[in-house]
Amino acid sequence: MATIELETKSEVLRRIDVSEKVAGKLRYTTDMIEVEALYVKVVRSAMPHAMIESIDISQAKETPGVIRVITSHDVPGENLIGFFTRDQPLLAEDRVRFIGEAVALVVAENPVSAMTAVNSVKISYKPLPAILDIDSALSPDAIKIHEDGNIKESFVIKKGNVESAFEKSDIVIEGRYSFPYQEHAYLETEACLAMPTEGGITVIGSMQVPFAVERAVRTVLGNAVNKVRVIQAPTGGGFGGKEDAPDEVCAHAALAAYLTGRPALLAYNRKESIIFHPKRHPGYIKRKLGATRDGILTALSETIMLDGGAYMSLTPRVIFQSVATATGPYLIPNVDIEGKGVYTNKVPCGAFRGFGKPQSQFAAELQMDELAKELKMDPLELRLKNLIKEGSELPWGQRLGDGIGILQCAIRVKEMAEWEEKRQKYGVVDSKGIARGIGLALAMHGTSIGPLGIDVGSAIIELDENGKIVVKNSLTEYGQGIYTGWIEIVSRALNVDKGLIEVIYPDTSIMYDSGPTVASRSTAVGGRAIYEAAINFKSAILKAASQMIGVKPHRLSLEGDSIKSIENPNNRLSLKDIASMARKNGQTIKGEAWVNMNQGSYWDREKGRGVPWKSYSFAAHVAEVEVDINSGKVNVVNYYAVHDSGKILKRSLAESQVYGGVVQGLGYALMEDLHFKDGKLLSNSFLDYMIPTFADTPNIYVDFIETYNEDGPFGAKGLGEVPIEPVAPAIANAIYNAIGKPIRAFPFTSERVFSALQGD
Amino acid sequence: MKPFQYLSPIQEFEYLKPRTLDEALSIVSKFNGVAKVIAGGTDLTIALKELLVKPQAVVDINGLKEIRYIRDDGGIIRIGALTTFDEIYRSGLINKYARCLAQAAYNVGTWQIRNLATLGGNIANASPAADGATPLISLDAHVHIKSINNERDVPIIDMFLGPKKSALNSNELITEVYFKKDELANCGWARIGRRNANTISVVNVAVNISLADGKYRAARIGLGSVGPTPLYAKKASEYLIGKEASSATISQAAKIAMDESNPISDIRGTKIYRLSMVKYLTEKLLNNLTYGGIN
Ligand SMILES: Cc1cc2nc3c(=O)[nH]c(=O)nc-3n(C[C@H](O)[C@H](O)[C@H](O)COP(=O)(O)OP(=O)(O)OC[C@H]3O[C@@H](n4cnc5c(N)ncnc54)[C@H](O)[C@@H]3O)c2cc1C
Repeated sequence: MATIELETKSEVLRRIDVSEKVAGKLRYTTDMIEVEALYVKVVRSAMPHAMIESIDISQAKETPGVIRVITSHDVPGENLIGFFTRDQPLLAEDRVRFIGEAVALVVAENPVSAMTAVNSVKISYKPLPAILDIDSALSPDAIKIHEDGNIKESFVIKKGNVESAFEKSDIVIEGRYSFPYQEHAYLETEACLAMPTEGGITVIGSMQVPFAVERAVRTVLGNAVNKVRVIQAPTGGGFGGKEDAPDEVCAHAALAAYLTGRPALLAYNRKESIIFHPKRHPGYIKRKLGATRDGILTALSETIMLDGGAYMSLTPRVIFQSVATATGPYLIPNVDIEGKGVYTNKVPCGAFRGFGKPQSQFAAELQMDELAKELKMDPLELRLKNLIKEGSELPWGQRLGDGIGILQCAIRVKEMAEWEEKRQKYGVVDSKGIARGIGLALAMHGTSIGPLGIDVGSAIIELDENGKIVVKNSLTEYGQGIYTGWIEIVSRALNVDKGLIEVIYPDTSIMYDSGPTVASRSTAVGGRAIYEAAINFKSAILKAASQMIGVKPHRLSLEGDSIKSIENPNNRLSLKDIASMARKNGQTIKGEAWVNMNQGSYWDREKGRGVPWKSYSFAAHVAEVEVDINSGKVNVVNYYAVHDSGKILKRSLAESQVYGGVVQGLGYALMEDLHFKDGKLLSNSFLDYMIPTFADTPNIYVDFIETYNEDGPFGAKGLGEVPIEPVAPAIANAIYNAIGKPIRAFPFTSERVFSALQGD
Repeated sequence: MKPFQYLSPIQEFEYLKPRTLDEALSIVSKFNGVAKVIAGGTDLTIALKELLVKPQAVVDINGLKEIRYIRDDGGIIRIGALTTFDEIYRSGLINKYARCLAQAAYNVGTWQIRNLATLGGNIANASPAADGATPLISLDAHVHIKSINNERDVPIIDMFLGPKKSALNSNELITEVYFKKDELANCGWARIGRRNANTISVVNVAVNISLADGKYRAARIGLGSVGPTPLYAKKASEYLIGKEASSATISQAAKIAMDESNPISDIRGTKIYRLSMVKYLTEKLLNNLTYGGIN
């Protein structure tokens, strides 16, 4: 692939979407009701686990303003949804499995009528025992939440012989590590507007994966409709939470629109959003790590247990990634790793930035520091002794190629943070009762989806009537700034003005399925498809211009806003002229491309071997904390993050991904968690679900190590997720350094740290 | 084009905006319990949206300039009920004579909230966690209350009857909060929250002391979030008075304050943690106020 001069210095970048957003002009789903839309409200289960004996909608139907009350009987197609496995009823039939599960829909002229009717639907339940944690789900006499039992999915990776390796190890550290829920807390809650069309339904909504929504709507409407068109509205945040949740939201809205023949809007308030959409998996890890006296890792045995909630959502893939990153970026000759996802009667857990890795890397990285302490060795030195490098063999048999920047990341972050100096100084309590600490964590992250899923990307680039270059790709922008990045790629590939390039919001009726916008793949996969489509577009436009100008294509050059003859630059046509001539000729000028990231990757489940990802991103983070030992309050003061995500296309966009990931990770580490009582979610508003404010945000220093990735556009690898992954363990290790003991469960709330200091 | 309706139900009610206090008092009296007063609206709007209150009328008192002031009335500091936390925290008078109140005001919510939220609303809302309450308790403040044909003065601590239950009658308005100006006194406020800004206090404590010849001439300790209402730590306060300042005395007073509080465990914190934090914050504030230093 061509290399083009890259911009590496920090520059002030204007994102193309920013002025509309700042001015409040961008129209989100709920701003789009130009039509007389009906309001849809969901009637939800009040029981964590119960059989439904009856649903009485008679009074709700009579509520003034109510147009229709919908139950599972009204679903024309299959009453099932689910991202990979369709295991969740669109509307509950005879059984509910968590508080908040959809049982019926009310469609009304206005929200007040809808709310009133929701409260007058009478559901009579026969309660079943509710399973509210992992261990009760696994107990032999536990009630089965689904027919095939309470284990959703499990993965295993084995190598060598751990038993004998532990026997030969000089030191073995063993522990149980646990981690909380995390809520995505995106700015925009879920929303979808569905409109009946001639023989079909058009759906506009806040989402990450338009083609998944299309499949969900088709499934539930079945043969009742011919055409399903899904358009992504400007979307205010996703972080993985809008990977599968919009399937349900849009299917509900589409069902309401289909049954009433009128446009229908379903939009959640914050409470509904928190109660309903899939979260980051909580759970625990039991981990045993062996090493020699010199600090060479010998064996790892690990069991990962994730609480997946009531339905499958994306649990299988999440578990896979937890298992696949269980070692951390270290060489361990003997491993025995198993991960399980378990059903419980709580909100389902699914995709969330990091996707199973923040959990396993917390355990791995904290345990590394525990080992370092035992060995009386610097934690960084211990890591460097065991670090993977070019040519290393990963536990699943994959041999690493080039572009392994983890060592440079670690060395760079050590300099930036003044690691050695501070490590010597910290760990003492000052006269005000403040203990300072500094901690380190590394992370490793496979680029894109991997062999368990279809990992292809596509793009169409065409010249429209007005001479604009239109980019079509079904990957979604939901706050990352990817359109700005793509425009950069197209403008560099074509050497045209950025102002002439336009990216359109995904619309399933005019684009190919580029796969889900997840797994840090928008630049690495989407960007590469766009780059290749741009190259094809270039030949197409040069060929068309060649006829118009009368000069051979290879004697023409595309530059700025026009195409000109290399020999005679006055012989030129603007893109605008080319567009109007093409229009008269009845010609289309476009380039298309598909890229297949599955090529060369595979996974053998039985043996636990394969090539799950072709390239890996890396990170080395250092956190510096102050712990008030009288209250347990932790303040993160400084934070250093160095990343290898291949070539960086836009430094400022990349930096902002890191800032965002660090702050989201800081919330996860220090304050975020969901509290339940008898299966009922208590922390269902921002009054009680704390996320960090600016006052909680440290100084964040970012740098990049730029390796080159063969498969990405201009050498790029994924960056979206990895910044969140080392944060909780880096903070955990800094607290460990400050107070002298490890805390194996987070979030590190003041109270948790305080009780650790008290000795329990 | 249909105007967008918010997705939570918006209640319908009559909206009234009186221009004088008398007019406001006669309106609330006329509605006889079915009207709700709105000041900053930072508590009331949430209650309206969640259908926790269903008033027939909402009476907007933001036009009543006459109850929005901070003044030094010869020995007494008076704060109009409609004064916002932003105004309180910026006030030179408050920073000089009631620093604990300025500190608390600065920590209420966010800039946006502080621009709206009023001291009167904070008291009337009667949350056990109200950050405005503990400083006023430590300052021994009184609340001036008016109705159309009556007025009364109530010690701040008697305003709070239970969680979200105040001593106000439905025909009454808070017009003023006042306390004695004490040149020798020194007060401070501190809290434990779940993050560094915009968070409900897990525990908040205000301490006001004055020292003469190394002895506590006066002392008042207010505790928040550790009982059904904001509390006055009477025993701890009285224990200090007349005693020689020493770290043993301070430590003992903090322990008494802890014993006087009666917190519950909830998702914001356990009872045990709250008790420990009452002791810690009280001790820290007493130390800082007694021996100088920052808090
Ligand atoms: C995001 C957010 C953060 C917050 N953070 C904090 C915090 O850190 N600390 C804290 O203590 N509080 C906090 N609050 C709560 C709230 O802001 C305060 O309690 C505030 O002082 C309420 O004042 P208001 O003027 O907005 O009251 P309103 O909402 O207008 O009224 C509250 C109640 O008082 C009554 N009322 C108001 N004025 C009078 C009067 N003069 N006479 C009689 N009755 C009256 C109203 O009828 C109503 O019942 C927060 C609220 C929000 C939304």
